[in-house]
Amino acid sequence: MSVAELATLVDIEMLLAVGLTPSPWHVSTAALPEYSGLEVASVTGYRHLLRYLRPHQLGQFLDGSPREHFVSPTPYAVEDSVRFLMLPDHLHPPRHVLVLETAAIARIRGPRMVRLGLGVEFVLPDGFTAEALVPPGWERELR
Amino acid sequence: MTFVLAEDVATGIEHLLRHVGRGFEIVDPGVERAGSIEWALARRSSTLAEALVVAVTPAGNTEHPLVEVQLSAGADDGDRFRREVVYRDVVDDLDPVLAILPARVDAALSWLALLGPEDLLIPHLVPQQRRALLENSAAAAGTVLAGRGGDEAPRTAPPAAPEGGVVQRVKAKKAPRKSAAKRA
Repeated sequence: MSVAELATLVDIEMLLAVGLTPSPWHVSTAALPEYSGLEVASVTGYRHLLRYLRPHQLGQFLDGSPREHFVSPTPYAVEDSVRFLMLPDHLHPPRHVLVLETAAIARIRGPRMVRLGLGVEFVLPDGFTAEALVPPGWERELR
Repeated sequence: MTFVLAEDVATGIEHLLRHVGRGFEIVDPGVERAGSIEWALARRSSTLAEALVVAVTPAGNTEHPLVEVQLSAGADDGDRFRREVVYRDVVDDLDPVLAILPARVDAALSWLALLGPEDLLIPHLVPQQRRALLENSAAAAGTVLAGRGGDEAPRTAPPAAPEGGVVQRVKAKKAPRKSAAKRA
């Protein structure tokens, strides 16, 4: 079992254990149960959520972003993120994440299994504010 | 560099997928996930959930803007799944891709039609049996969050929310961390 598999496994089991059952991948975002960030944080030990970024997205969300975002509780190495988040495995995989304070996010939908993948994701229908960025408030490079 | 997909390209992809038919329905069209813009089709039967996914991702730079287009297909029976890339190309103009995409989608549908549960290869990390055990344990312990909205409830029905709150917990709630409380 790879480290990424183990990290994903313990995250899914953590979510199951607090009643945040990941929905199947084919459930639309609108059909996912909704919580406040504080509700999710309070049962997950204030676990942060991670917004993976491709290189072309660096600097775009440092003031927050009001649109829909997909996030994961699980940190992945660059070489694992494509497989576990089922992203196109092209020239520029996600090399950065924004670390988000779950309790400071207004609305969270999910969790849901990644489409035909191994990972788990949440959806932030209203995005996040700059206050939700964990200090220092900029993208962390994945190595 | 902000990546904006031309509206006619986005419309073209969505139009193509909306007319696939055969029981497939479009799910969350044109959403951005980790830098890729995705359109997904899903179809569910008693044994399989099947998917077709078109993803468009910036692959160049400011001087040489390129995009990667990927069509993948797959199926899942709850315990195992399989996903294959049916078509992939890196281009600087998406119009020719739109012209050949219908044939690629047909090829993907033909492949899916031949796919049965015995062809699924990759096991989910949490088997259904253990998943059910954990869900039941959570429900029995009263540590289940009650979500709002959504057309599809979690498979384990949460207990009724207490008056004045939606979180049903037996264990003492952890005090918010200083930084979280300050922001919240």
